[in-house]
Amino acid sequence: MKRNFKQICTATLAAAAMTASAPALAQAQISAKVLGGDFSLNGLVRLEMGIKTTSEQNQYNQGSYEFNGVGIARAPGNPLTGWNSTLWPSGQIIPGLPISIPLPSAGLLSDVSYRGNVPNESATMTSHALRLEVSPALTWGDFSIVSRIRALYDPGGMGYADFDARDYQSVNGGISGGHPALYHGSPNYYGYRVDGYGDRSPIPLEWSGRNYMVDFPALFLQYNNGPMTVRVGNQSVAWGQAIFFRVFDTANGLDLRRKLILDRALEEYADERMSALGIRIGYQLNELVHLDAFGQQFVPSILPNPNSPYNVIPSQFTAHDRYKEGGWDDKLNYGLRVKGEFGQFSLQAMAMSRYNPMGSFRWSKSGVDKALPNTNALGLLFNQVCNVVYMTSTPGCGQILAQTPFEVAPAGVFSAEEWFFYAHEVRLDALEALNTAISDFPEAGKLFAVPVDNMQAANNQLDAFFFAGEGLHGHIERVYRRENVFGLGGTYLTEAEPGSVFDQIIINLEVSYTPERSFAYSGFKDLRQELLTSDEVMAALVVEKYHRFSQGFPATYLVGQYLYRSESDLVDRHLSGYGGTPGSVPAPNCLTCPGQQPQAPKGVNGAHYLAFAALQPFPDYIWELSAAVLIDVRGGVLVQPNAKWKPRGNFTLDLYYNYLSGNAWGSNRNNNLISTIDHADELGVRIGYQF
Amino acid sequence: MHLRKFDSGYSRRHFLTQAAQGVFSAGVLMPTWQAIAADGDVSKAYPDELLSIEGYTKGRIKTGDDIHAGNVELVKDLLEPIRFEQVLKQGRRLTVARTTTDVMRLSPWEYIEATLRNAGRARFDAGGSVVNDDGQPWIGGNPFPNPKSGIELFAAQTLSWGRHDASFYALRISDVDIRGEVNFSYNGGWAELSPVARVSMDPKPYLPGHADKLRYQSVFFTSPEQYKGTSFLNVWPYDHSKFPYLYGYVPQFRRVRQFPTDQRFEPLLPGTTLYLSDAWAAGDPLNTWSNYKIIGRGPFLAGISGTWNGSDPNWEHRSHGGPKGKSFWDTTVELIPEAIVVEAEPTGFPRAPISKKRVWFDARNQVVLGMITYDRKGAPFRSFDGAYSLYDDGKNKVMDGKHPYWSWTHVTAADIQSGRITRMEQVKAIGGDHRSGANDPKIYDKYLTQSALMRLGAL
Repeated sequence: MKRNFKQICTATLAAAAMTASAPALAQAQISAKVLGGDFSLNGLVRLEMGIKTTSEQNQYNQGSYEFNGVGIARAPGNPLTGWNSTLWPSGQIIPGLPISIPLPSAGLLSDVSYRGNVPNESATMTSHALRLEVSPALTWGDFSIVSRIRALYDPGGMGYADFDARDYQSVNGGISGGHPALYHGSPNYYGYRVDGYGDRSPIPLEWSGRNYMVDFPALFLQYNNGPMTVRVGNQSVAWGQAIFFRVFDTANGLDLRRKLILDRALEEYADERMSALGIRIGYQLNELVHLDAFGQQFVPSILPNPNSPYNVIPSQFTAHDRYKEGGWDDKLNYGLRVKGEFGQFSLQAMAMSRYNPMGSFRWSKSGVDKALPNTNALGLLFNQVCNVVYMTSTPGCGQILAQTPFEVAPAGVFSAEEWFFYAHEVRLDALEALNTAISDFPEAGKLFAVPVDNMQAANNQLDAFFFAGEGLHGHIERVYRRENVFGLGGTYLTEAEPGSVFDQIIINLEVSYTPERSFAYSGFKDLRQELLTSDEVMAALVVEKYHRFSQGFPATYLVGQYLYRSESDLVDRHLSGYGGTPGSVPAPNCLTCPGQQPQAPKGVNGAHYLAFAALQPFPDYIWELSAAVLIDVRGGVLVQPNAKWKPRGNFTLDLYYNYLSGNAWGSNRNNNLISTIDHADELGVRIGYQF
Repeated sequence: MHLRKFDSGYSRRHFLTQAAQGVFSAGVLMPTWQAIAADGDVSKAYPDELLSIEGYTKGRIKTGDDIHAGNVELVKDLLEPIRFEQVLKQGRRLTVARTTTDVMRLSPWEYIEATLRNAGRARFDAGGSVVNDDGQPWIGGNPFPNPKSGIELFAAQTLSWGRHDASFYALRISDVDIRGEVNFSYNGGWAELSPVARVSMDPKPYLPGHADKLRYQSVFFTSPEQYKGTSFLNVWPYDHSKFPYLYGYVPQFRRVRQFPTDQRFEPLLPGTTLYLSDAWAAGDPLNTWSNYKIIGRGPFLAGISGTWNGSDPNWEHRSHGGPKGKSFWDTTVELIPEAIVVEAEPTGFPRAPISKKRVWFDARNQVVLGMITYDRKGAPFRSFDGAYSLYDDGKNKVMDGKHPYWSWTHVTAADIQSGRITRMEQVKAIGGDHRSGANDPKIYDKYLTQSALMRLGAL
C-alpha cells in the first residue's frame, strides 16, 4: 500500500510540475473559421484525487463491512413454531475474541458466522482520476452549436481496496445475479448500466466503462431570435436562487458516481447535474419577465456502483435498474418557469411534470436459480423438501429462490444482526423489509417463510435462511414514478446604510409542493411492490451577503441557508425510516448472549438542514479560501474548508478537506443524513490546466 | 498663424490665472465651444504651443518621435505621474502623433451633432439627476459641453460611456505580473445600451417603456474554460442616486442569480486590476460619489487618434516594455491642448478600497483621458490610461452608419502597489460570433437581458 501511495504522490508532483512549468498561453481561446462559422474551443485537463485521512472505511463495500471478521452467533429459527423459537440454543461469543463457546450440537443447527471470511481491506484513496473537458462551439449568426465534452479516466488500484467477485467464484457457485459489469468482477468506477441493455450506458451521448467515461454534458443547437432562445439537444436546466438545496432545481437528476456530493461544495452541482436530450425555450417577455420552458427525455440520477469508493447501497444487495426495461427511457419531463425581476424584488413560479430521478427501490425477484448449499444441515434439508415436495426441475430450491428476492451467493448477508444493522443504517425498517420480501413473493412461502410481527421471530427466520444459504444476496429493483412539482419563490434585496451589515442582503425564499410523491424506497421504509405516495413540501430560505471586512481584501461572500423537507431527506429517503438502531436479538434460551436489541425506526418529523458557506478571495484573486458547512440538525455535520490557488490563468490548484460526522450530537446516528457517508473524511486535490 | 504675443509661457499663465480666479472655461484664445460650434475645429482656441509637440518642446520632440526614458523629462508636465514613471523606469514608449484639431474625429458624429443641437437644455433636477429642460430624461449628446464644474464633467461621462446608443466591445485582456509575464489571459465581451438620450438608434430620444433606466450593461467572458460563461448584467435606474441592479451567471451554478448592487470594487477576474467601478472612469451612479472638484487644467499627452490597428485582421495591438516586453501597448499619443483634472470621492461606498479618484478630461469634448485612484491612506493605487481612435487608418475603415466608427482601442491599467498591469484591447471579434460594433439593435436581446445571460452562460 505504501508503494501505491508513493506512486500517487510521485504522479501528483510530476503533474503539478508539468503544469506549473508549462508556458502561459498567450491567448487562451482557440478561434477559427470553420464551415463558414465562428469556431471556438476551450478546455481543461485536471488531475483529481481524494486521499483518505482516517482509517474509517465505506461500510457499504464488501471489503469494509462492519461484520467482516466479527463472530456473530446465529440461531436458526424453527418454522414449526412460527419462527418464535430457535432450533437449537445459540453459541456464545467471548467479547473481543473471534472464538465462541459452542453449545452441544452447535454447528449443525447454530453457529458463529464470520461473514464467509470476506477479508477487511483498507483503502487509502477515494479517487484518482484524470479529467479532460473541451467546449467546442460553432456559431453562424443566430444559430450555434454548443457543446462540452467530458472525459475521465481512473486506472483503479493505487490506494483503492477493490473487492473482486471473481475471487469467490468457487464458493457456492459465485455471485451470478445482477448486471455482470457491476456485480461479477471488480468495481466499475464509471459505467452506468441498467438491466436489459447489455454492457453499455443507456444514456444517449455517454460512453462509460469500468475505468473511463466520455459524455456530452452539453451538445445542442441554439437558435436566437430577438427575445427568444431555443435550444435543441443535450442540455441541463437549473432554476432557483438557492444553492445546493434543490427546491426549484428539479429538472435534472444528479450524477453521483464520481464523487457523490463531496467535491468542492461551492461549485454546487457543476459536475453532477445531469443533462438530457430535449428542447428548451427561453423567452424574454419584456424587460421584467422571463419565461423558461423545457421538455426533456427523463434521465435518472446515477448512483455510485457497488464496491466503488462512494457507494451508498450495501453491496450484499443487487440492484436492478429498470430504466430501460420499464420503458422509462421513453418518458419525458417538462416544465415551465416564470421569473419576474422588479429591482429590489423578484418573483418566480414554476410547474414541472417529471419522473423522480432518484427512483424508488423495491424488492425484485432475483431470477437466480441456484440451490441452497448442501454443505450445511439446513440447506440440505430445504433442498430435499424442494425436490421432493415441490418437485423442482432443477436441483434443490433454486427455482423457488429465483422467484424470491434472494440469491444464494458468497459475500452476502450472513446473519440477522447484519440484516438489522444495514436495514436501519439505510433507513429501512428491518422487520417490515423482511415481511414485504415474503408477502409480496408468494413462492417464499414454500420455504416456510412467513411475515412476522416481532424482532425475535424475524431474527430466527433470517438466521435460518442465512444459515441455510451460507449467505444470501438480496435483489432490489429501481423503478420510477411521475410526479408534479409546483414552486413559488421570491427574492428581496435589502437596502440600509451603505456599507453596513444590513445593506445589500439578498433574502430568498423558495417553496415547492409535490403531491403524491414516491420516495427512494417504495414503501417509505420497506421495499414492498406497491409504491406508496405522500405529499411533500420543501422550503428553502437563503440569506446571502457580500461584505468587505477590510480595505485590503475583496469582499467576503457569506451565505446561510435553511431547508425544510416535510417527508424525505436530501436523497429522497422517507423520514419514517429514520431512527432505527442496530443490535442483536438473543435467542430466548440464551441467557448470557451479549447485545442490544435492534430498535425499529420511529421516524422523525420533518428534515431540517442548515448550510453555511464563506468565500474569501485574496487581493488579485490569486488565492481564495472558502469553507462550506452542511448540518443536519439531528447530529450530522459536513465541514469543507477549501483553498484555491491560481498563480496564472491556465493553472489552478484546489485543496479541500471533507470532515464528516454522523454522530456529532444526538444519541442515534440513524437520525441524520450525514451518518450514511461519514466514512468519507478525505483530502481532495485538483490540479488543473485550462485553455 | 497666431500672434507672437502668445509666447511659450502664455498658456501656462492663462491656466494659472483661470484657476486662481475660479473661472472654468475651456479654451485659451477663445472659448473652445465657440470654436467648435463655428467650424468644428479648435485651432482658433489655442496658441501654437498647445497645438503641436514641436511647439510645446521647442522642437526637441517632433511628431513621429518616441517618448522614452531619455526624453520624457521634456514632457513630464504632460503626463500623469504614473505614466511618467512607466516611461522613465519601465521601458514604456509613446509615439507622438499630430494633434487632432477637428473635433468631428474625436467622438461619434451623431453624438457631436446632438451636443451642438441640444446645448443649453440640460440641468440637474432636485434629486441630482440630469434632465432636459422639460424635466424629462436627457435627450442626447453632451449635456454640459462647456463644463463649469467637476460634477458636470462626470455627469456627461456617466450619462454616456461610449458615446454610442449601443455598443458591443469584443475584449482581450492580459494581466502582466511584476516579472513582466502574462499570467492571465481572458477573452470576453462588454455591451452597453442607452434607453435614453439616444441620438442614432430609433426610437429617439427614448426607448419606449425603458425611459426610467439609464443604461443596460453586461460583461461576460468566453475563455479560459473556468470562466467561460461568467457574466454580469447591470440595469441602471435613471435616478443618478440609485445603484444598478446586478444579475450574474456563474458557470458552476448554471443559472442566473441576483447579486448585491454594491459589488463594484471587486476584481472582475483573478489577476486583473479592473473593477466595475472603473468603467469609463465613471462606473458608478453619479451621486454615489461626491465632492467633485476641478483641481487643475493644462495640456496633456494622450492617445486619441491613430491608435486603431486596422492592419491586424483582428485589430490586435502589439506590446512592449517591462521586463519581458509585454507590459505596455504600442501606442501613439498626441498633445491635447487642454485637459481638465477632476477629483471625486466614493462617499456612497464607505468600504471601498479607494479614497478618491483623479480623472483627466479633454477640455474640448470632455472625453476621459486617464485616471488615477488612491487607496484609503491617500497613496496612489491604480492608474488607467486609454486610447481612442477613428477606425479609419486610410487603408482600412470600419463604418458606423454613415461615418467611420469611433471608439476606444485599448486601456492600460496598472496596480501601482502590486506592480501588476492589466492590458485590455478592443478587438474585432472573439470566438462565438461576438463582434465589436455600435448601434446594432440586436445588442439588447443578444447581451442585455437575463435570457441573454443564460444564453451566454456555460453548460
